[in-house]
Amino acid sequence: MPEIILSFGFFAVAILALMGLSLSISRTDSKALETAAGTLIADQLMGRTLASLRTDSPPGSRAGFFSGEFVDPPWDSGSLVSGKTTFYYELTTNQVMDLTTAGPMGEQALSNRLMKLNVRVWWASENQEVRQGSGRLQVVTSRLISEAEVLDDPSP
Amino acid sequence: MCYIVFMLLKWNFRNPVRGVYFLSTLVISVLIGMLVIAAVFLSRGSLQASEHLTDGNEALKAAESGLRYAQSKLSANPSWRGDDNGITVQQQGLVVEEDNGNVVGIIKINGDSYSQFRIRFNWQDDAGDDADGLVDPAGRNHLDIPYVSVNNARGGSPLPVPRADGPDFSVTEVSSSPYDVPAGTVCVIVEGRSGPGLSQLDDKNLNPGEVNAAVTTRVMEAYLRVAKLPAANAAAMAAGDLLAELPDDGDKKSQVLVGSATGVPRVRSKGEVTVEGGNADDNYVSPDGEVYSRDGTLNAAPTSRDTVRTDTEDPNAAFYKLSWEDVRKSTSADTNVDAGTYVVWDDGSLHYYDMNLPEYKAFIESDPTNPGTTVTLDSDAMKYDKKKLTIKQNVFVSSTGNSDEFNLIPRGGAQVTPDDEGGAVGPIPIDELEQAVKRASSLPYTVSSPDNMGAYLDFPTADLSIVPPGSPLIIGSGTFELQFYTKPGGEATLKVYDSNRLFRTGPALNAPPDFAKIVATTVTDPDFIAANPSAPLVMSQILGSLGAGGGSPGGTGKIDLPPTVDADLTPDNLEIKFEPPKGESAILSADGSINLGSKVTGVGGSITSQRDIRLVGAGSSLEANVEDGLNLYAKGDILLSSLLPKGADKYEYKSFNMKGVIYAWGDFDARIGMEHEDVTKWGSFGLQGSLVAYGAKNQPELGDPGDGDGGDIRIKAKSVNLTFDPAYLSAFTNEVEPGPFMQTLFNVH
Repeated sequence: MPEIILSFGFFAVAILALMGLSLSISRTDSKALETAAGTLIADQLMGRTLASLRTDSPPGSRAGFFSGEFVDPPWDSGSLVSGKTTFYYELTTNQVMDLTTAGPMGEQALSNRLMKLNVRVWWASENQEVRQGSGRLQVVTSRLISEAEVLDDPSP
Repeated sequence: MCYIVFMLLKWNFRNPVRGVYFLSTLVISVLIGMLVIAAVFLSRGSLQASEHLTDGNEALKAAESGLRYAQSKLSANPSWRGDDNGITVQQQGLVVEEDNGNVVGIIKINGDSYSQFRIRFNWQDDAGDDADGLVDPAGRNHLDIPYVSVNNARGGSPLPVPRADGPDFSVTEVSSSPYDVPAGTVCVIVEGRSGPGLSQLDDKNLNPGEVNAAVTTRVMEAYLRVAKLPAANAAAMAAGDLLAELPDDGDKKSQVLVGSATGVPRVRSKGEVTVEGGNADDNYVSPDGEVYSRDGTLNAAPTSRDTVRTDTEDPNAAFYKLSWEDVRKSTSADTNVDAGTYVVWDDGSLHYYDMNLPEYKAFIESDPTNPGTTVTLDSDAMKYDKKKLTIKQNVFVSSTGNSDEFNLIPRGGAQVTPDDEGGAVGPIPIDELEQAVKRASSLPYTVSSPDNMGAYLDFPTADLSIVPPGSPLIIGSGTFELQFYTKPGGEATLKVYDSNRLFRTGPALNAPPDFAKIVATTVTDPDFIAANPSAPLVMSQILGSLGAGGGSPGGTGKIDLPPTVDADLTPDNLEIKFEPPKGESAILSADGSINLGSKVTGVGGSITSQRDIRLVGAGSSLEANVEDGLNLYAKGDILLSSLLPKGADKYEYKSFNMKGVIYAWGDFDARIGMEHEDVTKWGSFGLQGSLVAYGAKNQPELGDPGDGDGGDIRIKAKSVNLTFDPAYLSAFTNEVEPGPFMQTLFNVH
């Protein structure tokens, strides 16, 4: 009789371990997939922003983008649905400051102003990026953007 | 654990039924365990793949950020090569340090982790031959990457991009250079890195020596070129009219094509823009292009007018202003060559005559076998051998007193057109010269104050806008010199220093000049020219000093030699080849005109003249070989002709294609075709760079477009292809104006 109890014990522990790990693996896989999707969305948002700057669409967006920082309110924000997950995003900008001149890097006359564009994508919920058991569910990416790279016609 | 299992097994095997239960449980447990372990590994692999993807993405963005940083820095300072030493940016999530050509930056991308970008212009070769002109960076900024960036924004010719394959990632004399970066271009190679191995990165440690885990690397490579210079925004700018004459054969391919390397294709004219002949339906092609003219119209075939946007040129709008002081040129400190006329005989020997071209023509036609002085040009800067003059360094044409020109022609002369007999053909048409003579003749004058140098001619009135008070116009030196002064009241004095007594009433040095001879004689008076071979040039200079026109009286045309003289060599048989060291220019400069009756080939060549430039006889090799940065700058007019004699009094015009800058204060004239019974073929004209006819001829300084004489652009060719590329302008100036750099090549590996 003890051996049967022992066997059931082993079996129960194994099953419980399997269930726990399955849940963990499921969460990890899900996070990996969602992170990949979030990265893709962040890239798309960055590409979309660059495209709108290059075409200056809507008109004035290029001048606005390089006119100053957009942190609060951000340059752009919103949400996108991919599969069953809703991805929330926020695009902010920082002016790159030149220590040697103690001012913003570049100048409008030379079309060489430099901005740091930050894209944050999260999907835990609209108000937070942390989900219990999954940790932080967000992707943040940044890139410097120079004014010259988005000029469609540099002619005066 | 093993002991417990062993004891349980031993105890269970005493009872087979119990053993079956237990063994089954064990086997199932082991299987489940294996499944769990496999699943964990799979899951971790999936997560790692995702992280690797993210790392690659972040490395790419770091590299992109470095490239944009470089782009911004270059726009502010086109000579930048990572040498604003020190921390240049330090703010939340972004720190950049430059150290003698090496640039290291970190950018916070995800959470608390940084990604890194690295750029190196430094060859890190202080232990070797120190050829980069940069001190090696501090040890912490020593970069262990083989990719070296190269700034060739001001280079006159392509420059090799080396790989740092020497000891300790240095560039050595034998380092490989897989390709060359073109002139006017900066090759920026950025390495972006990201991953857990860079966990040590922070704003105090931008470039850790060793990484402690996986790091993903991406290398981004781009060419950045000057995209905008002040008021330089059109493929062609004419202060006067812009006229393209195409053949009347109605060929569909006979068109004017206008493009741009950096923006809207555009031509600008303060006068009219006209295309004659060619494709009867559409002879001006410029997708999304613009044409600016005085009346806002384009005189071209019907379809052309529908597809090109036209507008009125603002008469006050500036053109690209490239002053004589700003243009890159050679000086007397460079290798000097005597001014005069160099003539190549059929046997390849080079003969020198200390005289300008019109004098030479008159001289040699009266004494056809006179050999002048046989010379050998053989120095580090220039070498003549076998009908080919190679220019490797800057060469300055030093005036001799008798000549300030540099002429290289075959013995039989160089023709612009089949009927070219010299003199009257060229940038200064004879009717303009006659008009100038009339204007000069109408000025009242008195001869006064003769001295042992020449004479003074006082004029009661003068046009102060031509020569303002306090800015004397001085032409020539040595045996002949003119100095023209004005006073605020309008009086003017022309000092004539004429030791050859061309225009004096007597042989004495202090004899007064025969001003009647000056104003009554033109270059068409054969008796006077025969007696005074220098007269056409001198006359031209005097008229120029009076603001009445002037300029080069023209080239040789066909030199009339007797049949006994061997003179079968044509301009197509001669060659001037520019061959500067890589990345540098070789510039031929003269105070007087430069007339080349030869092919001009090579790369990185520039020709500058304070008067006129004439390239006559440019053959097919020009099209094939001038690939980069041939620049022409003249304070007078520029004439190009590609006439090629084909025997039996037949001719054809070869195509003329070049990349570079053509900048004339006066007119630009390209004769790449002609309606003539003896011309069997027209060539095409192509220019990538910029073409400017500023209209400032006979002005002491470059003012507003059209302030002086000239300014017309006339091109006669089978087809015309103009592509605006301001990078060539930047490579031609002493100081490159700051402005945006545009990306022309992009590669990631």
